[in-house]
Amino acid sequence: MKQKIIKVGSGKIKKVLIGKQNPLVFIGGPCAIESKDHAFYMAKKIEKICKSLKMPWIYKSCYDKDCRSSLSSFHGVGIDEGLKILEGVRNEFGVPIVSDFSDPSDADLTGKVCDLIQVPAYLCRQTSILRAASLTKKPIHLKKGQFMSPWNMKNSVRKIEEFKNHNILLTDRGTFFGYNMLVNDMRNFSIMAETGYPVCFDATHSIQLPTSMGNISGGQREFIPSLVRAAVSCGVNALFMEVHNDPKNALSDANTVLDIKYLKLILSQAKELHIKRLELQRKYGEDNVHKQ
Amino acid sequence: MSINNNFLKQKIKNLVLDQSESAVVEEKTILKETLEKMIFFKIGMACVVNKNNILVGVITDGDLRRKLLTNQKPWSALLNDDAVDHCKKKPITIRENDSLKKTIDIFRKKKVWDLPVLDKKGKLLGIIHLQNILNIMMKNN
Repeated sequence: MKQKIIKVGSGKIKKVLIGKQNPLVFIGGPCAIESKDHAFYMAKKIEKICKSLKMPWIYKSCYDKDCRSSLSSFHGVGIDEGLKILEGVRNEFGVPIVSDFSDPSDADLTGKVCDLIQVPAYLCRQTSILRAASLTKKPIHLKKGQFMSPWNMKNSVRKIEEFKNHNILLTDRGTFFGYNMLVNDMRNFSIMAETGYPVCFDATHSIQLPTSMGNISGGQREFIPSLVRAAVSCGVNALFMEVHNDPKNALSDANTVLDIKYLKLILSQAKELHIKRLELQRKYGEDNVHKQ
Repeated sequence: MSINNNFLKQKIKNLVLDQSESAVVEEKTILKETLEKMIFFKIGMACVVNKNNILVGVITDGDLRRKLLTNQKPWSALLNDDAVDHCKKKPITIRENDSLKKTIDIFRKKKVWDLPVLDKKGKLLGIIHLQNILNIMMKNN
């Protein structure tokens, strides 16, 4: 299968290439936009780390957290204020932006600001969402639903292609293992890569324990570093992690978001492993163990 | 029962089951839908074509029997695979202007009872099926 490279960013924004021999890309930011000051503060912190590692990056944050378990949980700052803040980050840092949408009518506005448009995992097979994302003509960050098999993601990919969009990044964020529990199947990356599109690992949502704490989700952050190393060794083209300067008080995903103080350590290892993997690929060739 | 020479000399194009009567799928049709077509037409062979109607390969009942014994991935994954990933490339074919005798010879020698029929440009016209030939023979006698 011929592997594709997707290009994220346009105009004055630094273009990020994802796939094949390109450097490992980091996609991250706070789960939800909390305020303009916080968004800029986090962007500055991430920029500093990624610059020092010479790692291409994309800023991620959401204006609407529509999949909260509880109505009393923080839902987000809303589309108007949220997109204004994201546009501000984009212009200030010259970095591509990714954000998601949960209602097809929000896609157009979201696509006007974002360089990469995200389809939430729970909605990854909704035709109306996939159509709306495709029509923005922006590259699509398609997350594998926790309930989906990796091979069935091809169906969502085919829908997007039918809607004339051929720039897709497929991400694994864990798979349900009974109730309130996710596991990572490292075969998913190879299987999803068979679509020809680059693949990404979402480390912070993978360690989530969905709705394990009554009406909010728990998480086991201690597994993030080892899972990141495993995923990069398995050939991902990008890494997704939500980061925060004060996880305990984060307004969204407080139990899974990574304390930014650990980000450099994790990304440094990920980068080295990614380079090593490409070296091994050049030295020994592509994996070609016979398939039955 | 004797078969006269004129009957055997007739061209295959007069006997072909066209694409509306046979299991023909595109490369990216999934295996599940390919099997459904084979079941619908009650034919043990599906032809896989590209967008230009050029034959890419065939999937036969025999291939599927062998798959039953060799497949290791979950069935749900196998059924979601593209037909092109499981078809036999460069299959035996017959041309529209070939004779019925030549077709029957291939059936006998290769132990098959379906063959894709190609036109002069190599595009798929349809298939020739042993059952179909037998029916015509019985009618003529």
